[in-house]
Amino acid sequence: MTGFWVLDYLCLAAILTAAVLVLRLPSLSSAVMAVSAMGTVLSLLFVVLGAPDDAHAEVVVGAIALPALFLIAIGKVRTDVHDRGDLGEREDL
Amino acid sequence: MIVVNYVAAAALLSIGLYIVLTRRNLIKMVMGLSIMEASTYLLLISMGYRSGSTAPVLLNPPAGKSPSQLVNGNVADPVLQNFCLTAIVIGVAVSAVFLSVVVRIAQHYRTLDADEVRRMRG
Repeated sequence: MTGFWVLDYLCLAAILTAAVLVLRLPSLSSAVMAVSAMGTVLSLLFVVLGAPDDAHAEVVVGAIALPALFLIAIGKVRTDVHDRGDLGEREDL
Repeated sequence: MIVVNYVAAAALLSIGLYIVLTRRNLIKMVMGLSIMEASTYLLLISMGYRSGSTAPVLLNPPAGKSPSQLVNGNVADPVLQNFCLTAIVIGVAVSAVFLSVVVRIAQHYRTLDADEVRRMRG
């Protein structure tokens, strides 16, 4: 039972550290990696707490899919899109 | 009753809310919302955990037990785990929608700073 508590406290400390890293890191890509680390450790904590199916979903979503979405979004906002009129931009906004 | 997990979930919610309220970068705001969702998952799974319980996976009843006696076994609560599973699936879809809106704003206003977007000043 004491092993459970050791794992629990370690996972909680890692999750909170990753969240504070998301808050403090200036670079967007570094913050995305901190989000990915938080999802990974959260899925490990789900295994510790007796929810392996939720750990499966969380390791797919929180460690892979969500950081991939963030990286795709960062790449798209850093790309200079040439407006050929199909975006419907107006100059006065 | 794991009080430390509840406190950690509250701390995660506070960190995410602080990121949403104080950061000006729109993608950083969506990250704060993701952290708030993660605190919800942690709270649900921690509420479903009983002391010393195992995963609610059942191959067949143990020797000398009928299936009607299995309600006395020590497993985690499957109902809250299914709530958490639904919340995970909805959370990634919501994050994708928010990120698509942020990308559209960035293409329109040529910036990611929330203070530069005049339409968001209210």
